[in-house]
Amino acid sequence: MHAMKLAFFIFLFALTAQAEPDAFSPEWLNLLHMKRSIFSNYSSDVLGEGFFLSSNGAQDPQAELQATIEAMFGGNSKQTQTAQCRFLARREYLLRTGPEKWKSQVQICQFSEEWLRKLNATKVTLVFASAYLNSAASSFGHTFLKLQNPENEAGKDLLNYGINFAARTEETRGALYALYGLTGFFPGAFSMTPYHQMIKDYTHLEGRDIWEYELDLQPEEVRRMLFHLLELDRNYFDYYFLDDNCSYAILKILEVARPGLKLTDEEEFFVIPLDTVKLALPLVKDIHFRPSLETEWRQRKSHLPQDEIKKLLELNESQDLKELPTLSTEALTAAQYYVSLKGNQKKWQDLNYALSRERAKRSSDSEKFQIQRPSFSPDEGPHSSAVQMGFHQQSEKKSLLLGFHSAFHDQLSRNVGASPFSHLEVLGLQALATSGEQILLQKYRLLETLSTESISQFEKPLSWGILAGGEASPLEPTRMRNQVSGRLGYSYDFLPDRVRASGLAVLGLQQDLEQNFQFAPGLQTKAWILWTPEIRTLLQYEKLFFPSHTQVTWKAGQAVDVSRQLEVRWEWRQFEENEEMAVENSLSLYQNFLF
Amino acid sequence: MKAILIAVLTMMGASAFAGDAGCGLGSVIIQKNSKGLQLLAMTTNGSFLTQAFGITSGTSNCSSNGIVQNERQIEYFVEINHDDLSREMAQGKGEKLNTLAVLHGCQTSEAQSAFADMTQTSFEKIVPSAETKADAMIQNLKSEMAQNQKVTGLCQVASL
Repeated sequence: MHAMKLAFFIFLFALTAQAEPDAFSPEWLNLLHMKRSIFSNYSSDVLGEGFFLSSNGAQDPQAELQATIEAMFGGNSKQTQTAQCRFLARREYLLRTGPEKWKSQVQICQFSEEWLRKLNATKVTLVFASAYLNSAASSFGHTFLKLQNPENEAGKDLLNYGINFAARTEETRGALYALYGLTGFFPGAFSMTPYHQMIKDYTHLEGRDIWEYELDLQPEEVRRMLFHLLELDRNYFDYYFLDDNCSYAILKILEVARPGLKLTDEEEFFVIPLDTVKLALPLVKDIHFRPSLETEWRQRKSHLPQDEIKKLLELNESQDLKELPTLSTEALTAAQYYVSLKGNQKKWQDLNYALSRERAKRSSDSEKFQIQRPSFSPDEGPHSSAVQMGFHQQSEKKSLLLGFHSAFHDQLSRNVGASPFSHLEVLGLQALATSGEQILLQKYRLLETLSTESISQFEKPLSWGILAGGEASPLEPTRMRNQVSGRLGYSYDFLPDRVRASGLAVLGLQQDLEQNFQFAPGLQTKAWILWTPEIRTLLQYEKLFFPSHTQVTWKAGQAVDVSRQLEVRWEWRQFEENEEMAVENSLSLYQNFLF
Repeated sequence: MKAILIAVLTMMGASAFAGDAGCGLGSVIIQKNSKGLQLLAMTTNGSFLTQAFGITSGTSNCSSNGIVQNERQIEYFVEINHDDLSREMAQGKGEKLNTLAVLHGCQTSEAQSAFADMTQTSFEKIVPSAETKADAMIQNLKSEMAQNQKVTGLCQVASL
């Protein structure tokens, strides 16, 4: 049987080896960054000039193939050199799939070869900068690549290079800048920077932990990827926050590196960095963790005895350096990280220097503390979309509950891969189907976020979130009550990362009983209990003050993981408005998946 | 639909870190996010860069075509990581300090730990004040190394 299969593949291989280069092969389409629209028209995401040799190349892969073949192997020697050296990955594809005689026309591309020799990259690591602590919006992380030079293996890993894909602009400030970046106004482009510089941006400035996923790419695959990056140099892409983003771009160049690999779909709606990592998992050989300054500080602080914490607090308050010699080495080191997080103000720089001077007097090995890698790596978290199915009950009425949530990590989700105790949802729907009645939309979200971070003796970070969506009142299930609102307040951990409570002010517009939008401020308090990572409870109380009346909602939720991607949830809600009250209960299954 | 979603998302506002990598001392500017901006920073899909891929876009002060010139490696590395290096020197250990040791020709782990010990012992000479800049740090480090027989013996200082 195996012999049969093998013979078949050899036959297939022989067949493809003799075939002409195919303008509609995934390989060629990937090299041109062609997407197919629903009307079967092709169009390329690349915007820059000079990327297409045919005037119609951005829409016509066949015309571009013909123009490329003509330019590279058409006999005009000056043009040949320019075209071959400009499009190294295309040339490699044509030589691999085209007629033998082209091989004799190969030109030497000194500039690129010299550059590749200097870079000397033979391995690639997919780097994931995880969620930034107090920002649900960053929950799904950021991805970039590290190119590894084998000469950098012994202690010089930081001197390798990183490849990043990001929106590119000369402008760096202002609201328009933000708006343009998210709406695709700015072009996206690949950039290359020393790796130490790239991780510094993420681990230090943004306080994100770095996870390195070493990929099982062969040196020739890495070479092909670099050929292609050279082709793309000085070219731009539309940069959309949701789809044409860092993740999509990186998956695409991995597909170019290994022909036949398929990591993206034709029509991606969301591509989330955390999903990139999951999609690339079959290529992953090894995983490494690099703690951020924030993690260094938190872990070290959590191991300090109370009296040392007290001394650090006094130091933080008074900046009085006299007590420095009485600090333990562990406390000094922890404080170094704390102060480094504070930034460039002179007061902190001076304190940082004083701490370092004192620390330099102590032995380098006097600390036993080692940074712990988190028990789960981000790829072990729930997938970013979920379908929900279950039973819903309100007094005598029983319904089937159906839901769909995308770009999703909610407050009952498992705290792996995303910011803990956070909520991020971009587009979510929940509907009730009752026999003999129409299907009713019960709840929808255009966007919901909530970021919480515990206050401590050292820091008082705000917890905050926004919500644009609506929910039908259980008192009047046919009427959608829409809202656009924000939440702002504080959270506190009664047990670090296990039991957290938040008190939040709710501000925004809410639809009242007559469906008029009203400014209805309110209060929300909630508490989470993680019994184990797999068993989680959420309790919530909310009171909104409409001009004419108040609305009170009590909620309780219990989630239990059946497996990494399957959860059972029980949710209970009591709703009080205008001296009426309704209670509803639901029990549902959440199946998480990659959209 | 996408347009609506994006419009909603923009309400959150976003501003992210922007770093410019040139070379030449002092030309590397890394801005710390202000607290207010951090609160709103939406960096799900990465920050906004001001730097080109740089392969064909010519030569900057210390890298050519995106690759840092060998003789400028120390300068570039210290410029970017000067705060972390200062902290690690004081601790007498760390990955960045080891990288700096390798750049100074300390290949073996014995040589690297001798280098780290030296930077810890001579911390106040290498980093004489909170305002010590990268170029001064490099110069001070060189003179300390030259005076330390153990380190000169173990590391190929000649490669400087």
